[in-house]
Amino acid sequence: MPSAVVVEGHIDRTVVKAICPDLHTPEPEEDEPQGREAAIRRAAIATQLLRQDRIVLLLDPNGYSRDEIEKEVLSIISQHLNQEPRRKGAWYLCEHSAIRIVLAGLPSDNDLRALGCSRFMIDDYLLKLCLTDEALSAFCRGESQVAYRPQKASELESIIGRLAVELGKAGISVDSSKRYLDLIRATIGFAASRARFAELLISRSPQHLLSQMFGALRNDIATDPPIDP
Amino acid sequence: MCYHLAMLRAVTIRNYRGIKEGSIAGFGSVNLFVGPNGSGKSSALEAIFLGAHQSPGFMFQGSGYSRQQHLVALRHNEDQFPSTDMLYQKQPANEIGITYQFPGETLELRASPQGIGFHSAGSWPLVIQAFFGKMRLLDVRVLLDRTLEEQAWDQLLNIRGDRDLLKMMNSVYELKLESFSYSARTRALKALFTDRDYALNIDDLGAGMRIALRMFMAILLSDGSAVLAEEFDGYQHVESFPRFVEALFSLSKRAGTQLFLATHSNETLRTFGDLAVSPSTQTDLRIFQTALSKDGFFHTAALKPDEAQALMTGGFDIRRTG
Repeated sequence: MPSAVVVEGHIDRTVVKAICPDLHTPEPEEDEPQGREAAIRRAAIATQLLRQDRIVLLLDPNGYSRDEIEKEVLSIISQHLNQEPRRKGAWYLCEHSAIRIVLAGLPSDNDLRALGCSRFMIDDYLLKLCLTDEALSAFCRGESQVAYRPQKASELESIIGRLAVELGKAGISVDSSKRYLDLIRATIGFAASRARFAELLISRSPQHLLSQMFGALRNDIATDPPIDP
Repeated sequence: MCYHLAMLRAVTIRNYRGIKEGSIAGFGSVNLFVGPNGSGKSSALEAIFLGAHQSPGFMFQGSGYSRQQHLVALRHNEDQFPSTDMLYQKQPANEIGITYQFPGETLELRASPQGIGFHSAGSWPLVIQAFFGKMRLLDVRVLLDRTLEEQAWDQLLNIRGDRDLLKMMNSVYELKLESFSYSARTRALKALFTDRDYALNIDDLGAGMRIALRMFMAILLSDGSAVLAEEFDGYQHVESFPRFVEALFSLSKRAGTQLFLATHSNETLRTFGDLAVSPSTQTDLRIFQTALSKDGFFHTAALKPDEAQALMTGGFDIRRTG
């Protein structure tokens, strides 16, 4: 089990806390930088702490290949620790700790591809969840303030699909689940933040659906491969 | 300017209380130990303090200690010093060994119920003898009672440390102190204010002020040596705390007193870190995260102030090692 899961931002943290509640997911202060580079830096510096022996770095590929991300991780860690970490299997071995990269997202998901998603990230799971009748109705049932309550997920999917096409005509690309989730929030009239949306969506979704959507990601995060293969 | 005559750089501890073995390296001018209860902070401070055993009046006993003695340590109830209780797993075979590293000098101390002493060839430089002779270990009890002024007020006057105390107390707590006066009859230190027509016993001041006053006294009295303290940061108000820390930095720098302080407080870590990197109060601060494994191995992770700050703002609680 990892000693900490370092993530890029609020949404990733919300998801990890929901699917791996026993794991430590450090929460940076409000004004701390977010994003991939900041997360890698945080993971690198955390290797200097005692008992942070296995750190999972959960990153959104967001259009980058695994190779490109690994190069970035290696470069930032090396810069921080003044030495290049040794690679052993899935792990980057630092002096007392090891870092492992887990990439979030569903790049091989046909539904997302059909919507035109070409950049993949943690939001992929949320969009998939949102586009199930069960999760969508559970979410809307708990919301008194939403402006529109879709009867079926397919109805919502069709609306956001058409919106994406129209936006595309205006030269505005909708190529990620993050952008689709923004359209969903705007369509149903959910006024709170993206992180709050994610939190409520997950907390109201039935457990079996969460296991189905997030099971693989949870395993990737929580199950450490051996450092000595 | 900082002028440490002797500066402890590293220490290795063997068989001291819960510590079977462990080292701490890379000490700076100000050193903060942070870690959960039972992570070896107090034991490490005490182990370092054993080097003072030859100084007059050295005492390593807690309950029933005599106020006539020069120094009092932490939590010990031993009838003898050194005692079997101080040995790892209380086994007589586990002789205590402390290795002190100064620039260019390494000293080995051994202690067992049969005796205590340094086992190093040749004579040591005078500055190292002075370092061990003036080292003080303080806990909240000593910081709150009269021990320090009873023992050393005269000594403090001889170096006109009273002037520094006035200056520091006035600036940290925005007081209007005019002078201090020690009454040999009542054995009480009194504070005289310019804006009051009566004197106040130090004991009548707030706990935070008393602790600060005695920390400043200890730093001045231990010039060229070290002050080791636990719970020095209790009772301080959030507004005056940064000024208190600033005063600790400036006094210790001026006196050449190395500080070894244990804390459980994030507020302390943040304030020390902020001030240590600020250009006006820049200090060679090192933060040591401590952990003690079940099999007695004492581990530390050394952090520079900027690293500790990055970890804290990044959501890591460096007080925890579990």
